[in-house]
Amino acid sequence: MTKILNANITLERSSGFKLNVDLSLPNTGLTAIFGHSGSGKTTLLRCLAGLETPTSADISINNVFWASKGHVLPVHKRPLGFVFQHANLLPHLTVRRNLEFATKRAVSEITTFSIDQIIELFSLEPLLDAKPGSLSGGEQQRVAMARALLIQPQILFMDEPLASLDMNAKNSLIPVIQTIKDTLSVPILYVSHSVDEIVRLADRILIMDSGQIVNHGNPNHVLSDLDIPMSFGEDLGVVLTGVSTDYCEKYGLTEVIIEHQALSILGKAKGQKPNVGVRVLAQDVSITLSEDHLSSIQNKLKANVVSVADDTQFGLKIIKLSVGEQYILARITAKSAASLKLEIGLPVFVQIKSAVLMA
Amino acid sequence: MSFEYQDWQAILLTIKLALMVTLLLIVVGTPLAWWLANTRSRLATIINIIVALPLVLPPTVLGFYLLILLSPQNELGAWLDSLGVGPLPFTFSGLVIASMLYSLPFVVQPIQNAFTQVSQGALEAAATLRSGPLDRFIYVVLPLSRPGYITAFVLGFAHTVGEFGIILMIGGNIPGETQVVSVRIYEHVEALDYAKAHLLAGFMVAFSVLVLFFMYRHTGKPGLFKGPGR
Repeated sequence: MTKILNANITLERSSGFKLNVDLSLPNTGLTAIFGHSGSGKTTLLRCLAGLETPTSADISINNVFWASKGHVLPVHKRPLGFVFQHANLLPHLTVRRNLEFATKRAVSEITTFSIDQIIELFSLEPLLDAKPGSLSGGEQQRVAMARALLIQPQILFMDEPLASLDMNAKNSLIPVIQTIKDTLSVPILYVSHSVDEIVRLADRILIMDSGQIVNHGNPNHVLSDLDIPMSFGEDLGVVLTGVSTDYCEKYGLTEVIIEHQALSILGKAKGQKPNVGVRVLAQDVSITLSEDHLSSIQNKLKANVVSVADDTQFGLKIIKLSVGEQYILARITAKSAASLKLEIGLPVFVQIKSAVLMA
Repeated sequence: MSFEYQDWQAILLTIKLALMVTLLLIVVGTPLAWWLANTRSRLATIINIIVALPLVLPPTVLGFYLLILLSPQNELGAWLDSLGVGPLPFTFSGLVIASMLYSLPFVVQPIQNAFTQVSQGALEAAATLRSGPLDRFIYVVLPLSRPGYITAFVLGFAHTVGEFGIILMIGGNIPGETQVVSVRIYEHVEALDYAKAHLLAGFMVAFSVLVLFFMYRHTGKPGLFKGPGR
């Protein structure tokens, strides 16, 4: 069975908003749908789930049609899980009963996740007899995620699941989402407007603007695309993927090999897998023409200039550089760019002042 | 001094009438309230007005029209007669129909308010949990509307017990068939038997206080039409 999501959706609102999306994605890992508010990302997700009725829709997931000319499967017949911005637990039922609401109506006879396994994984044991009203926002959302999984979905939709939570709750739920995608291998469509969440979670990013998908692909390529109409501001930067090879106890540094070049990043990789992401902000990257050995900046990569663009702020330039198959962005002053005589294809060195190890 | 046989007969008849009317109204009122709570049809305004009409109209007006409509001389009455329903005025069945119309808003409006207040989020979540429309209604809407149903039951019951004008118009005053407590009290007063009237009237006061006490305890809200409490 090919795990693929195909969708062709149009929707026109009386307000003038138009959604026009034609997409085809592998139905694996976590796909983030990213865009400003009003870009149509939540509407797209709700149309895919069937919570909203589009003007026209052809949707198939894993080669099963959910909507196709004239025939539309109602929400309750689609094998999906949905986590809303607000947990939407059933207020008259205890946590246990909320979970059982799902198990009683679950998709298949084959139980991929048992209720006990999910309770354990989400540490819900102490909450089971509580009513939703007495739980914190983070706890409610944890229950909502568990409940959505107990329906044994073939795909999990998440609509800004962390947007209305405080920082602590966010940080405690991100590993939970990573577990859902890695340990439980449930494909996820994840709507968010938070760059921070997306760089930590996404395997693939769709960027939406005015009801259309303007770019999609792997996070490194999408985040380094300077043509998309997004202003990331201070968050501008990329994620580099590499393999962690060594952890140095003395300095607390992890060695990560990216495109055959080594970086030393502060911190220790939490995940079991050797593949790690390294978040590098454009403002933490500088460019030199020769390899400078005597500097407090230890991390240097050989790179080539790909393009030079104006930043939204006057006097600053954004330089896109390639490091092997991946890209990195540097934010430097226009004056530096001029004195370095940066031109396309020029081999340079990028110095990375700070980077964050993810996963 | 205690109730005489005919007083007891009136009390039992009143309870029977109020119970039947309230239960029937909950059955009929639920789909009506659901439609009113969810429709965007323009017809809803008209239906809402019709449902609320008995709140404004003098009971005698309603009773007068019903008397004419249901009488065998009228086409509707004649048609019902031909179906074997029998002439409805001055019968218990006639009272039930009249009381249902009269108490309709007291049952439909609290249920309608309760339905309106069921969170759309909870319903959407249930739908994504493979719960179909009927399943959602039974396992989400109804439990969340419980306070509304309690209010509807108490108000419908109490209001039917308190009827007078419409009963006199369509039911008359036949002991054991249409003579309810309120009419019985009227009869005692007409006969200048104030002692017996006092006894029944006092009984009704006690009953009403009890009903209201029960309702406030369960809904926690003094407003009659504010919908379910939380």
